[in-house]
Amino acid sequence: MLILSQLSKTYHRSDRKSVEAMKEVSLILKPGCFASVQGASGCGKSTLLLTAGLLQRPDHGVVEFQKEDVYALSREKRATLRRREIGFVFQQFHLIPYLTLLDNIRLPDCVETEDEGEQRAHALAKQLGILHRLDHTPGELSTGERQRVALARALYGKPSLILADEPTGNLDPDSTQRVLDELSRFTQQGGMVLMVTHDPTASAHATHLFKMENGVLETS
Amino acid sequence: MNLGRLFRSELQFRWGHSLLGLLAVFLTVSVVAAVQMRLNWQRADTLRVLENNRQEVEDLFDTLEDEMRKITKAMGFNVMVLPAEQNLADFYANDFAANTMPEDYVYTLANAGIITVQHLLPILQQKVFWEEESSTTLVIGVRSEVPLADSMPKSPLLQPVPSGCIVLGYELHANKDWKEGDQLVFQGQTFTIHELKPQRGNKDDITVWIPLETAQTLFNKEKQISAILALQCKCAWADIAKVREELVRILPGTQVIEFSSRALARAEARNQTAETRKQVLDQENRNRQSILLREERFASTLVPLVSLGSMGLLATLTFFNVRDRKSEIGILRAIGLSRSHVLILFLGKAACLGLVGMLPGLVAAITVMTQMSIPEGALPWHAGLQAYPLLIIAFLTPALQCIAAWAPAVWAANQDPANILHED
Repeated sequence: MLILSQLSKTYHRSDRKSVEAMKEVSLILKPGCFASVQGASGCGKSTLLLTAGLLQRPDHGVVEFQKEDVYALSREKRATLRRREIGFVFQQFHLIPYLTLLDNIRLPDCVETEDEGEQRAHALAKQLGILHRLDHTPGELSTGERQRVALARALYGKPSLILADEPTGNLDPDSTQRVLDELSRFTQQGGMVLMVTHDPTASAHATHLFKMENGVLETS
Repeated sequence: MNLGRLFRSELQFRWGHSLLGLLAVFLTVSVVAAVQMRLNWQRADTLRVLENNRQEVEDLFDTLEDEMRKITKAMGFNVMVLPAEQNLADFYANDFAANTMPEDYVYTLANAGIITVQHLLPILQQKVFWEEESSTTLVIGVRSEVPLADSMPKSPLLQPVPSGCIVLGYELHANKDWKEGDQLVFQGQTFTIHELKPQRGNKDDITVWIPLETAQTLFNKEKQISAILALQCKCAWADIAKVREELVRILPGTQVIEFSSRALARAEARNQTAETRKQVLDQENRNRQSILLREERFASTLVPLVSLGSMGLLATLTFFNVRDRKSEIGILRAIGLSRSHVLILFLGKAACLGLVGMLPGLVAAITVMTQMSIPEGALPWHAGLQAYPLLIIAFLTPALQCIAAWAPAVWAANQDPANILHED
């Protein structure tokens, strides 16, 4: 379970203008929950996602994941927790351009080799319809295929939480549908998804809808 | 999938960048190893040349010494004319003649027209206790040579002591703070030090030389002398018996002894030869060492310069590599790689470049050595090929590449993944 309590984050810029990205944001995400946060660009959605992903320490508030105050842990322990429990999907995919799809999917193995990793990678590739492309590099794929590779990489480590930042932002309707279906299937199997988007179609797949405006999170 | 595969794939993907890094390592290792081998070869060849020269000089001087021995066999001998009443046992025991004879004898001898004697030198000897310095000394009063009648002037064998001056043997001045030109008191008279003799290892070390007239006055022996040195007695038929016979015929109240043998002269000549031999060898040694030193100085400038240049280039390449891979660093950190993993990723790449570039660099250096122009008779190129320095280069190359890449690698590891992902 992921519990965000009273999170605040302010960016201090060099021109002395401060931007409050999160204002006392609270959110509880239980297994099987697919939460979608909608909002305009710059409203604090990505900050919320990175904070939930143990990558950005909030100024105030607590992030509790699997009953642990994660920002009380050391950087190394947070990295381990992230590796074992959290998968990321980004609008820009963030695939490694010089690795094949198979290697991109198995990227988490750089640190901790997964038992029967190759079989699992193949199974995920098959499930996401990119099995025939495993020897290709990201540059040889369509946008939709790239996002499916990113999704496969996020699912590879058997996470309990997937954080998705505009996962359908660059996709055609068919690819969008496929990605959202996979995220739904993940939650149906007990996983949690926190997705930030401004795409209403994407939000339609969510079980919980939130709206974010000027750093304030509200139930939609 | 592992970190090794990740940086191998990246090396292939950014091949231009990797090639540049490899080239820098390759050139550095080539230059450093070639310079190192060249210096090793130079050292070994210097030793060879010095050894050869030593042998040549030894042979040359052996020949010279042999020639000198042959020459000195025909060399004249030195005799001493003593008063007839001088007990020779006392003379040999005390090392000086206590009896005296008239100084005129020397002029009689000089004017006798004898042809076997080249130089005549009258002396007055006396063993005295030097009261001012509380030491026993042998005093020799000397004057300039007496010219021989019917004979061409010769260059003097011994230099006279100027009036008012004194010459001191080694033991008499060894522990004093005297220098030439200083004044001292000897037997109540003040003298100027004319010369301080080096150590000879014989009675000369306790001898004081003063002008003959001064000695005669000092010892109350006016117009008296202890002995006449007849030096370099020489002619084709001359031997000691012949010379003795001739001198005693002219000066009936005297006796003649040989006081400095030809063997001694030969020994001195040999010593002189040995000294010259040592000087020649030392000079050759200094010349070769100077050449070697010049090459070592050149190498000590070139090697750090090339190494620093290469490290600077690799640091710059790593910096640009980090900048190009920021997005990659962000996602790697997001999927759970720690800062140390990122550090290893960049340092591993630098070490890999070091290892891969080092091997062809060593091969190139050896190839350069094989093509080096070697003077005839010099050692072959492989005399400079030593395993130990090459092993050090092999070990240091990846280590130095890691040091060069350290700052940009730390910068990469310290990148905030949240910032990177936010920017993207």
